[in-house]
Order: sequence, then C-alpha cells, then structure tokens
Amino acid sequence: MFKAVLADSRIWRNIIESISTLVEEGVFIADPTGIRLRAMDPSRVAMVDMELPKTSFESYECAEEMPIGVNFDDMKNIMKRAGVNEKLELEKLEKEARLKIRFRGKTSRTFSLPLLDLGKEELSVPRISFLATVKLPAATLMDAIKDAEVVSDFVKITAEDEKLKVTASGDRGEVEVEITKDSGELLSIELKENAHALYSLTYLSKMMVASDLSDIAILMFSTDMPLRLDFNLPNGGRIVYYLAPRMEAE
Amino acid sequence: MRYLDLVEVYEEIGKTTKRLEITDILVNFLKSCPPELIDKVVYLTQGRIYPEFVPLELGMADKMIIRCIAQASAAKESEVEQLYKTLGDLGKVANTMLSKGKKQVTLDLFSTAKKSDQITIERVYSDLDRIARAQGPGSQEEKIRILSDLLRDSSPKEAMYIIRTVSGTLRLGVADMTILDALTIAFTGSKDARPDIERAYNVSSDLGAVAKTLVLKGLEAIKNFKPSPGRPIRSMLAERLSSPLEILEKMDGKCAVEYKYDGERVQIHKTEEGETLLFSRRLENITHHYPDIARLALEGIALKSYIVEGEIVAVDPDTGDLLPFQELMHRRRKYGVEEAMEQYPASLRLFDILYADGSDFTLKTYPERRSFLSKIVIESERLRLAEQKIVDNPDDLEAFFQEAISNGCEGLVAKSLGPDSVYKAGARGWLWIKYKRDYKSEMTDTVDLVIVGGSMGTGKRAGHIGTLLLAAYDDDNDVFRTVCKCSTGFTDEDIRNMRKLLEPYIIPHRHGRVDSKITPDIWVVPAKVIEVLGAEITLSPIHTCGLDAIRKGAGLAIRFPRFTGKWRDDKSPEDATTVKEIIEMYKKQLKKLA
Repeated sequence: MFKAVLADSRIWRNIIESISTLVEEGVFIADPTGIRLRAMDPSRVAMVDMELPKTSFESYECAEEMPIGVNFDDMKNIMKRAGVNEKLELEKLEKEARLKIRFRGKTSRTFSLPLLDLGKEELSVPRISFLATVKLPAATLMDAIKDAEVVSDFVKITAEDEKLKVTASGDRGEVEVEITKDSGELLSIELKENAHALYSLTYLSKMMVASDLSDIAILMFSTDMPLRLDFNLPNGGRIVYYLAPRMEAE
Repeated sequence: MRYLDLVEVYEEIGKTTKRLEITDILVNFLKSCPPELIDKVVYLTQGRIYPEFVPLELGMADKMIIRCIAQASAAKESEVEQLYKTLGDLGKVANTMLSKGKKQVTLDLFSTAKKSDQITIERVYSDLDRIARAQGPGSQEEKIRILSDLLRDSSPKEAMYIIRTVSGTLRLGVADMTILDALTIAFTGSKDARPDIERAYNVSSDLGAVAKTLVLKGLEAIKNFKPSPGRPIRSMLAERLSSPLEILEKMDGKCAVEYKYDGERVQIHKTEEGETLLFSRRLENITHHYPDIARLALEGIALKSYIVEGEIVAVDPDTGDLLPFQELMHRRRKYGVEEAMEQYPASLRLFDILYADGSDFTLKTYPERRSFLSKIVIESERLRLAEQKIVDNPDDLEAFFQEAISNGCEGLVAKSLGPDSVYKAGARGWLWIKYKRDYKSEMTDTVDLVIVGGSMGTGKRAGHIGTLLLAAYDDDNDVFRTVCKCSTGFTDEDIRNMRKLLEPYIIPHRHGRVDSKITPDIWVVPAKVIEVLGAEITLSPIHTCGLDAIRKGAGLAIRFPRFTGKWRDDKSPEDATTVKEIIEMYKKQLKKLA
C-alpha cells in the first residue's frame, strides 16, 4: 500500500499542471524513497522528469515500488478543487486500480481516480555535458519568452561573455533581450564555452507553467543540443524539463 | 535499401515521358533491389502500398498531413496551410518547410543509441503500413505521430515524395504495362516471357506479387500462376460496333448476345475459407456496400469456392422492373448500408464464371463457361443469369437489342462462340462486342397519356393494380397506341384507390380504339389522362406508338416513365399527347451518344 500526506495540496496541484502541460498520460512510480515520473510528450520533442522525495511529505508510507498510471487531465480537474490551507492525502491499496485523493481542511473530501494500466517505457534522460549553466529568476525568463513570442514561434538562446541573450526574429519583427549580472537578474552563469541554440517557443512557454513551483529557474544548454530547464521545489524535489533544439536541415 | 535510391528513380522518371527510357530506369533499379523488397518497391513505384483490391487506405486527409508537416518543422499549422494555398502540392510544401533551416528534432536523437541514419525503403514502407493499419479510437493521433516522426527523420526531398505517396498524388505516370516490361527485362533478360508475366498479372491484379514470384521462384512459377479467389481478375473488356450486321460479320455469322444491364459490374469471389468478396470493375473491394448481393451469391451458387462475374442491378421491388443505374449509386456509401439496402434493393445477373473449386475457367470457351454457370446457379427472383440468346441474323439481333432497351438495359454484349473464346483477363478484344445505342432521345417535357389497361402489382402492391398501360392518341386514325407501362410515381394511397378509380371503365376485352401488342391483366375504356415524365424516348419492339415511323418493325416507348402526381381530369382522352407529337419529340431530342 501507498499513503502520502502533503502539508499543502496546492504543491501537488502545481506539479500536476507542470506535467499535464506536456503529456496526457503517465505513470508515477512510488517507492520507499519517494515519488517520481518521467514522460515524453507525444511528438518526442520534450520530456518532463519529476521527483518528490519522501522528505517533502508530512508523512509517507510505501513498502515497495508501485506504478500509478494516470490521465493528467482527469487528475488536473480534481486538483483544481484544492483549497487554501488544505492538506492532501494520496492513498492506493495494493489491489485497487484507483487512487484516493483526499483534501483535508475544514472538511474531508475524498476523490477516487481510476488508474490506467500503461505499459512502462523505460526512458532515459539525454546524457549531455552542458556548456552553459545559467541561474535566473523564473519571472525574468518568463518575460524574455513572452517578448520573443511577440515576433516569432522560436527563439535563439545565446550564452557568451557572462551574458544571456534571448533573441527572436520573424515576419512580425525582431527582438533582443539581454540579461546580465550587473542588473542583478542573472544570478549565476557558468560557461565552458560560448553556446547558442534554437528552441521552440511553444514548448518553452508550456514549461514555464512550473515557475509556480519555484522562483528560480536553472537553464542548461549547449550549441545545437537539447536544453534542460530545472525548477527546484522549496521543500525538496524538482521538476526538470528537456527540450530538443531546432536545427539546420541537412 | 536507402529510400533516397527510390527518390532518385522518381526524379529521373519525372524528367522523361518516353516509355522506353522509363523502362530502362526501372530495369536498372529493380535489378539493384534486394529480392525480399521487390513487391514493396513495385507498389511504391505505383504510388501505393498495396494492390488496389486490398481495402486498406492510409486515411490521412490534407488537414492531418498539414498537421504532420507543421509538427515536423515546428511551425504553425496556419503557416503550412498558407504555403499549401500558394504551392498547391503538399509534397512541395513539406520540401519547403523542412528546408527552412530550423527543423525541430526529437530528444531521441540525443538519448539512446538510435541515430538518424538515412531512412530506408523498409522504414518508409513499414511506417506507411502502420499508418494504414491504425484503426479505431486514437488512430488519427497514431497516424499523425508516425508520419511526423518519419518526416522529422527525412531530408526535405525525401519528405516531398513521402507526402506525395501519403496524399495519393505521386502520379509518376508509370503504366502497369511499363512495370511489366521492366520486370520482364530485369529478371528474364529478354522480352520473350512478357505474355506469361502479363497473364500472371491479369489473373491476380497484383504487380507486387507477380514481381516477388518472378524474383524468388522464377519464370516457371509465373507460368503456373492461377486465378485464386480473393485476388480479383482484371476484367475482360469488349470492343464496340454500332450495327448488327458488322457484329455478325466479326463473329463469323453466329454469336451469343446478352443483355448489357445498366448496373454495376461485379466480380464475386468465394474463398476456400468461405469468405465472400465483391470487387468492382476497377478492382476496388466493394463487399461492404452490397451485403445482400454477397448473401444472394452465397445462397445461389452451388460451389465451395468460385469466381463469377455479373452485373448488380437495381430492381423496383413493387414491379420487378429494372431501374436506372443512378439508383444503385445510393448504395455506394460508408454508413447506413443497411437502410440503403432496404430502400434500394439490388439484384444480380450473372454472366461468367472464371474459377470453380480449384479449376481455372478463364482458359475454357464461352459456351463451356456459360453452360457450367447455368448448372451451378440456383436461380431465384433476384439472382438470375443474364438474359441470353444465340443469334445468326441481324434482324433477331436487332429485335433482342430493342427488347433489352425497352427492359431498361443499355444494349447488348455479343460474345464469340468460337474455340478461342477464352476469358481474356485485362484485355479489350473482339471476342466480346458491345452494341449500344448511338443516339438517345432525352425527354425534357412531360406528356399526358391515356390509361388503357392495368396489371397487378407484386410485393407491397400485391392485390392492387400496380402498373398502368398508357397510350398516346393517334388523331389521324382516332385510336390510342401504347407507349409505356408506368408503375413509379404513385403514392401508396394512389395504388390503394386505383381499382375504385378505374372500376367504372373496366371492360373484359381490349377496347376497339386501343392498339396494343401487350395484354394487361385488365383492360379499360380510354378515359383517364395522367401526366408522365420519362427519362427518354426509345425504339421499342413491343409498343405500337409510332410503329414503323422511325424504323421498320419498331415503335416508340417512354423509358423509365414516372407519374408526376397530376391527374389530368381536365383533359379528355382526345386531348392527350398525340403519336405525332411523340415522334417529333423523339426526333428533336435525338442526341448522338459518345
């Protein structure tokens, strides 16, 4: 059996939203160390990798590994009902194909979500040594993405000379956003080499949903390689996204 | 084998229109193909993935293809749509979108050992095959996912040809016969075996299977290629002549003539496993449209496995009259087949047998085939052999022709009775000659006709007068001459009241002022006039209106007459449309047929 209690149900709501932005269905793995999920979006351009360790929970019981396959739209709709100051209890019995989702506040409200029997695809995350690692306020990155969306549907991200540049151009015009250490908006930048790559804005803005969970975003990328975007949760755990680049056609 | 090799062949073929050059290009390419790939390559060259008769379609509408191109190039669908409007070719759209220098790649490229090697023909074929086989809920997304993944891994040029294949617009202009030439030269070294290979194709309609057999099993296996239920045989076609005399000359003075029904030609297969399949003249699988025909065949043909050929015709359930071909087109639909079946019941007229319980009948003569067919068919109201007659003089042939026309047929097919009268699959020849009308007189105006007799209906109309014998007025001789039997256009109420309406006029014999070769169930005094619209006016051996006026021995008849709903009680029978007017209408509206 699996039973976990989160002090703030809205954390789980945000986690579900951060996953459902990319995938419709997926399998959480609950084991004695915590809950994790790794899933690829249907067009295999982006991946989400979530972990929430045992320590993030108020209480956590899970004797052995247990897959919990869910439809994220359905779970999202339940989680929309999460109220302020409500605790969340997740519970699954060994033989039941249902997950109990209980909100505990002034009242106790229990939803029962039918689970899906999804085949397990072993996904491995891209193994890349990133040339650039940039830490910045999530809101600053969000603004840069919104600026770029005004003129294009993809963006060029460049890291050079202790600066992060976000540029976009299209029929509707051009934009260049510069984020430097001097302004205080660039919290840290580590460069092994200068790097630049193109990424889809559609995907990037979907990933920014997770900025509700963390004020800080960590951006890692290399020239013409996937991008990795980390959001660390305040009580432990994290949401990591990977996004394949757009490249020159051969 | 690289898909790019096939793309290069497509491009080379696109540059020429000369059949010999195309053949050379194909010969070189086919020789370089691995044997196990040969059938797939042949289908892809035809711009398809299966032979025509396999009822699987890729099932991707333009809209879905546009979405795939958008996903693969990480562009907005609206952008792709706009480009499609400009270029008008989804293949070119894919080419342009993927060449734009900002292709979206997948994470797969970076994680596992999977690399974006050059795509192979095997990969393209198996992906298209998966797209065609994806069915049921979620299949659209599945199709889109497979195609966008394939496009992402393709070069712009490869994508162009993949998309053209998917959208059915490859149109290389490579004739089946050219592919047969190329196969013959590539795998036998000369052209000598061409007739054997062509015959294998004609009895199987499957170029891929022929190619594979030739490559893997050799020419002997090709020579032993037999018809096999489940694989349609390419239809034998008829030449055309326009006079009975010419036809009889070609046929050495004597031949069989069969009704050429105005219906849908069909080849009916029953496999060893007991499955019944229907194929159209163009070899499409039409089983789904005619479950009733499949049932008729199943019940009425006393063989374990067979291939027979016939015509599906529409029959008026109330009168038994043949209806025009258009009525059958209501049956060619995807949904609601059952309802359509009741509304437009179909009948079957069989005219040939090509295979029976393991024996190939295509090599037997027409008289042998026809006589065998008559032995194994258990005729019923809806299942019959095509009307047939042996003729040896032009007058009999012409009379049979006019009978066919007035019974709602297109004309006749004359068939050779000679020792060489085999079934020549896929060929148009003089063993069969069709005799259709050269002219057609379409009716545009209604006519007012006099009721001179009536006959009892069948089915729903049993016990009621269901058909009226109608006549035009001959004002020179003050008589009424018959011009058609009309049974359509009446409401159920009309039919119920018909006897009451005619009761005062019924007489036990033909009225003295009525001229008729037909004897209806009841005779009436010419009194009632009704308005009728027909499809056309034709020559007829059985009606007396305008007898001898156009052709000796033939009168005029209205084909497919329909009551408009107007009882012309304001008109006396002498005010009805005259014979002269009908002759004029016939002449005036006579049009040469293509």
